[in-house]
Amino acid sequence: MQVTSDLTEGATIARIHGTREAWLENYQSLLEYTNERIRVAGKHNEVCIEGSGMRIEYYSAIDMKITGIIQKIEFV
Amino acid sequence: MGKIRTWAKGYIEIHVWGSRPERFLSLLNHKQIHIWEVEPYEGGYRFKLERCHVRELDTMRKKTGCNIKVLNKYGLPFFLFRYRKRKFFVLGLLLCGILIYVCSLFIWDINVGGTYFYTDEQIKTRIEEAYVTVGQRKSQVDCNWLEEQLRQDFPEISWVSCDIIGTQLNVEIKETLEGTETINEDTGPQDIVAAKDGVVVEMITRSGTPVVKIGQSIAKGDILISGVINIYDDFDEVIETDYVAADGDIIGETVYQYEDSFEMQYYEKEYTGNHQSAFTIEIMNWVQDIHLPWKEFSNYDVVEENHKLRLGHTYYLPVSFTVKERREYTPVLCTYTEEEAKERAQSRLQRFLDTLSEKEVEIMENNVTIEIRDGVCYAAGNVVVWERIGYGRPLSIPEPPAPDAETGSGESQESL
Repeated sequence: MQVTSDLTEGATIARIHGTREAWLENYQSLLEYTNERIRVAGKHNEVCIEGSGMRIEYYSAIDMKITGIIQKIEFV
Repeated sequence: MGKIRTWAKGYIEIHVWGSRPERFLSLLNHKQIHIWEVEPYEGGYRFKLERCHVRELDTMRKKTGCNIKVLNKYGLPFFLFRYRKRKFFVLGLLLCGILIYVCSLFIWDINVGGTYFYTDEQIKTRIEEAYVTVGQRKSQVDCNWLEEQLRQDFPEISWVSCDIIGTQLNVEIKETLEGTETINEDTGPQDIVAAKDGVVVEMITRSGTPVVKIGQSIAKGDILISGVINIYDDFDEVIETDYVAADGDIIGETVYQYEDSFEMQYYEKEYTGNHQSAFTIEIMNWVQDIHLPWKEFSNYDVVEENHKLRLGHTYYLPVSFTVKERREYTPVLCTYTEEEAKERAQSRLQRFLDTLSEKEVEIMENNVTIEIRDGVCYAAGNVVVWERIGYGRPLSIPEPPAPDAETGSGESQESL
């Protein structure tokens, strides 16, 4: 049986709809949040989303929704 | 629903600032506190969270060394707290809420759409007279039954849909066009007959026996496609007769007579600028006019604007007010110039042609002439069109011969 890496390794999940909406799951903490950049720490790496007018619509223990004009997503 | 629940519980907007406000957010996450509308704000962040988590914020503030400030409070608990000393106000609000709920149980408006042959008012009046009255309980209205009744009352209706949205009964109808009756597969044996006089120009037979040919003149009521199918043997004798629902498209060339006239002299209204307004309030069946004594105008127009009170788009309330305005005018006798008269006659003719076009009728020739004589403008002539002229008419099947007769013929054959 194959189990996805988000369950076995706690990998961060990033889901993007177009360039205006993104959802992140399996993160640990928020490192930086400005209108241009959102940095989130995962278990093994960092996820950095850059763009303009970035806004966190909601932030919970399960997931967060990011809106704005997304230009770049980087796994550091 | 989630939003209403949050509003009922109450929520607050917080501003967090200090050395590491991100840590504060992570702690909220760790404590599984849901926050939303997070935004960078004055060296920190502002966000919203439910009222029940407010007490936990103090511990986190101490842990992270951040500062917090409540920016706004929203929701029912804060609203009630704010107006705790205004009991009658709150009581009034509660009563208002109850009243709105009770009103939402009834039909307060009937909206009819999609009419062409019939008018909205005609359908609406029929519904109000016979089936659903304004002010009737919504639970007593059976939309399916109402659809069935409307189909029976108005034979031109081919499709009708009724539904209740808010306190409004919506009736959407589609009508069949004259001479273009659709034929259902479920119908019994029928002929396709001519709806009017004309000449057949196109014909497609899907089932049945074609009786007429292209180019043939036909009169109203003539059978175009017969529902009787005779099967012949080698000696051209009928050995079997089937009865089917004849089906096909028959396009006929028909002629519409057009006649229109109007006087060259007419009265134009010259408004004097004097007017007087009145208001009418209508609450269910109670009507009250509010106006000063009417001024003496010898000639006036009355313009009425009725406004129904509603919450949102569909929640109509049993309250309406009407603004009635009387505008005085002086009638001035004018005469059309020849050009104006012809333009007017032409625009009236165009309206007639547009009406025909809406019925899926193709206009082939327009032989209408406009002339002015004895102070009257006449427009007369005919319009030749191509249109569908066949419609289904049930077929009467002859009784099969009596069994005695069959027996008799059998015997005679045997004897032969």
